[in-house]
Amino acid sequence: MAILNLQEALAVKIKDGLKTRVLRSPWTYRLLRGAVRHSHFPLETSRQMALYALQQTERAYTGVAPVVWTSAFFPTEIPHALGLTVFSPEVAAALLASLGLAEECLDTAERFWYDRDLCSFHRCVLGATLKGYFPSPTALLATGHICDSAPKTFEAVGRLTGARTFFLDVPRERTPEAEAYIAAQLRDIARELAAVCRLTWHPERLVHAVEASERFRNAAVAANLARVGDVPWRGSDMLNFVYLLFVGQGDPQAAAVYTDLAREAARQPAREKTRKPRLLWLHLKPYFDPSLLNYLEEERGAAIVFEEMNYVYWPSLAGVSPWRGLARKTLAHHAYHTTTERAAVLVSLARCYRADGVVMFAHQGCRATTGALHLLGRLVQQEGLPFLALQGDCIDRRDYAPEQLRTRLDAFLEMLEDRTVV
Amino acid sequence: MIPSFYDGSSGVPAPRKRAGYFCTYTPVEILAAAGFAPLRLEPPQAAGDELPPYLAANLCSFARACLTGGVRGVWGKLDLIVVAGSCTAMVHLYSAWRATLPSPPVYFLDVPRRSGEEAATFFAAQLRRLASVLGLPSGSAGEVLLREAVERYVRQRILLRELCGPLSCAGAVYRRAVLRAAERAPAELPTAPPNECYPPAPAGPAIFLTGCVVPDDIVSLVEECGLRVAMDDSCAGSRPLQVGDEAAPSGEEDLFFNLARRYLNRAPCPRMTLESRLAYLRSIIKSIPCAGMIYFALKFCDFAMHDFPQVRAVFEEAGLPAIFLQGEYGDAATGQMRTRVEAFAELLHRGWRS
Amino acid sequence: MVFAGIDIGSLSAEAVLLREGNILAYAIMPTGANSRTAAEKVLDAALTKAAVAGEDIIAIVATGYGRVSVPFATRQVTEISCHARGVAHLFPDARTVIDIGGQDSKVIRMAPGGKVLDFAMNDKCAAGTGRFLEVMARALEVDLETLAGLALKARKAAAISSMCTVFAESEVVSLIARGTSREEIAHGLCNAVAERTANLVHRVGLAPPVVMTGGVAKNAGVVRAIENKLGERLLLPPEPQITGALGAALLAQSAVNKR
Repeated sequence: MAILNLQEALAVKIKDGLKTRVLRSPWTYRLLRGAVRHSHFPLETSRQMALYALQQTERAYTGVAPVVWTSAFFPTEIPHALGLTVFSPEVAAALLASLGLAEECLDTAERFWYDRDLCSFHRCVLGATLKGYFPSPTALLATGHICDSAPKTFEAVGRLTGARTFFLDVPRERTPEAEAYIAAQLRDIARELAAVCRLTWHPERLVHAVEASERFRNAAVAANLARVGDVPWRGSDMLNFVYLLFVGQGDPQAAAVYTDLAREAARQPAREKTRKPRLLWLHLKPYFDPSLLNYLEEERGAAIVFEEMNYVYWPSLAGVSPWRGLARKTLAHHAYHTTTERAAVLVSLARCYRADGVVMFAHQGCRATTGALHLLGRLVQQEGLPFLALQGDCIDRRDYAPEQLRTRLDAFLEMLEDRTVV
Repeated sequence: MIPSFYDGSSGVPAPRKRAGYFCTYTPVEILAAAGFAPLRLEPPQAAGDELPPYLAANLCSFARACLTGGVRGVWGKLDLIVVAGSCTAMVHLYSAWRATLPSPPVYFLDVPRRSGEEAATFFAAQLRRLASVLGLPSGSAGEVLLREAVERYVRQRILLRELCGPLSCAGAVYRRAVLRAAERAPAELPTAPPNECYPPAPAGPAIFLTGCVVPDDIVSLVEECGLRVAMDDSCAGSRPLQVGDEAAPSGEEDLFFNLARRYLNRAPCPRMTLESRLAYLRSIIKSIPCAGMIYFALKFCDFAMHDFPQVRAVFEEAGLPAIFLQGEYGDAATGQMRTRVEAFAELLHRGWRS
Repeated sequence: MVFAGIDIGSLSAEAVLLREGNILAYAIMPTGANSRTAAEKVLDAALTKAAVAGEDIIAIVATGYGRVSVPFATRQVTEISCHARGVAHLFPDARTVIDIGGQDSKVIRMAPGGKVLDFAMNDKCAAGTGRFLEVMARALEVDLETLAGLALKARKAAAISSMCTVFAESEVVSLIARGTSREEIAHGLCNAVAERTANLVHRVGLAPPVVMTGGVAKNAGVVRAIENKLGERLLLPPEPQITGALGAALLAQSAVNKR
């Protein structure tokens, strides 16, 4: 599916009728590619990513190869090793929200008894599935780590579409047994996925996919390192690269795009020193309303110096068997175990990027990232870093109160700027 | 009525150490074998919010109530707490508990969310580690203790299933009281609470009560509305009684693997896969005659909320009406809730009488 | 040299005029549908009271929800900073501010001089705010002042457990239907607000002295309930409702003095 900052280019084309007919026509993609080539992008690599996203979307809707849906953080090296088209319905939900099409999907899901307290990403996915907006999956790959909601959503989608659902169960503790358990599941999934897609599993292709994934990782580390030198990019633009993180690992093309990003980062001049305060941004953003982050970064002149989502949390995959490496990667996420561990990572990121404060966009339905947010806030504050939780929703605009959010954000910035000292 | 194990003596000495746990996926056999009295920690329903408020308002109210219970010391002195990582809320509870309460030591237990050979192998390894941390001797000495505990619980569950299972004529509130008494001290052979202190089972239509953690006041409410709870499929109800096939382990199978396999194959909680939940509920519908289903989800329990639309469809296929109730652990039986259950009871009564 | 602070809240608008650190005059009125009109009117009212001409104002700071709709303001500052500043002026030793406004309640922990160290605000919904009390008073068919009086008269409190304004309202309705006295319900409502407020206080940490500001500080029932919950006496400004506007005026003054 197309990426998130493309909405200006895409909205006009798609909004009039997000019909699968339109999305299945190669002409749509020709037109959109033209639009992408001639539109303004904040980064040259954003354009590269948009073209990559368009290509993936075209593949998904035109059925070049079997389509698998993957949930965020599923090791996509496996479907890429099979040459499958990887589709992230969660990213697609964000796109629907940015196009103003999420509400009808949310309504549809609610009519089918999906409760409003559930994560809106997944309600939107369920609604869009019921409405037939998304490309038909051959298989569904869901991981249970970080999100309780995704595997259940995927299982339901499997029942609705008839596609086979694979569930990766990831333990919390990093032990050799946990690695072995995950590796065994991944091996089974790969074998059965190949059978479902009527393909042959070639172990050497997984080696290639893991190599591409490693190049991806190296490029992401390089881009993040360059950003320590204060690259003047906007956090709201950088959050869009989460798309590659979710679908591109294991794909040589995605690795190439990320490598371009690292090169572009290295070429950038440093951010002007006047930009203050400097913030570490947690979780995502309200996709239906870009004005909150525009206000923060444009009008208020604050700088998002790094985003938690872009942190390379996983170790290098080199030197171990591919299965073991992928198992380690799934176990490595810093927000999957204790709040103490997550807080420690956030504090070190804040120090590394010289952030003055930490802001979390607390997505209402996300139990994993927001369930212990007061404890997280306390732990971060104990290290001398002010912490703000902006309670909102990434997809569902129906309870959105922009003034409330802005007041909290403003008060936080004032606090950081120390304006009240007389 | 009261089964024999309540008034006889097993000759097992009462353990002095107490190990608290929250989730019924915690194998109590290991705690007992290691010399701990297992105590399932059920927070009082009216505990309010914990202070300082570490857990967010949009997190499961049962997990929040557990933390409040700990902060207020409602369980007295405990020597150990085992937190099973059953769901995100319990993992946050683990973090918050450790940050708030310096003692007793807290042990984190990973529990797979699926069954099968690989999951059981992994879980068995977790159980082996738990046993060793708790000081269960290795080798044959430990094996004897564990085998004794396993066999004792197998016997106990078989008896309890007779007393508290779907064919029991006792009321659901009473059945829960019996289960608690048995849970508190299986080794001490407690006396079951007298039946006459509890309301008898209503004579009305039988329903199947399911969901995640179904609080006591919902069970009472359902009975007050004249519905008989044929199956109380919840942590405080009969769900933990359905641990695997209950066959005592043969000499061949590793004891830890046996426990792991049986716990992962037991009547599934919504934390397990949707597929396993639906398969289980289908088998229940076939084996237990009932007129309808009441589904209770705690607010913000993602698992229970996600399952409902599909569970509902399964009951509908079987021609059974279903209602969805959603509430907070602390005050689930509100006026609105009563109206819903009463209306459902009226609907079933009409169908039942016609 | 006159400085003005204007606080446009969701329910009421306040203006304070300041000369050499002293309050010349203030005005309070309902915000109504148009924030901009409310800002103009409330400032006019204060100017009339002080017999000062608009041209004499050196700087204006606007705060509150409507702060962005005051085009003639020199600067916009949030109510968090303004309440801290206003309280520091009135109670130099204060370390914690509780402000319960129309749709937001907030707790501010501050350093001497009014520097904000941390703050916590209510979750998205209006539970525990002025709006919550207003809705509940309506369900009891009394005005806000009577509600406070009723609460103070009660010997015990009805349990209002719902977090949500909508559900709490129906809880109140069913309590009335059950024949619970209005005093007990009013007391229960004050306790419900106090409970939520105490949770916010504990999020930033309780540090005395504690000052309460905002319209709800005039509600003796809520004040007593919060005091009981926290085990701490609350200090109240002579006119709690204008603290934000006062802080805004003080910020206007110090910004000009700095230049």
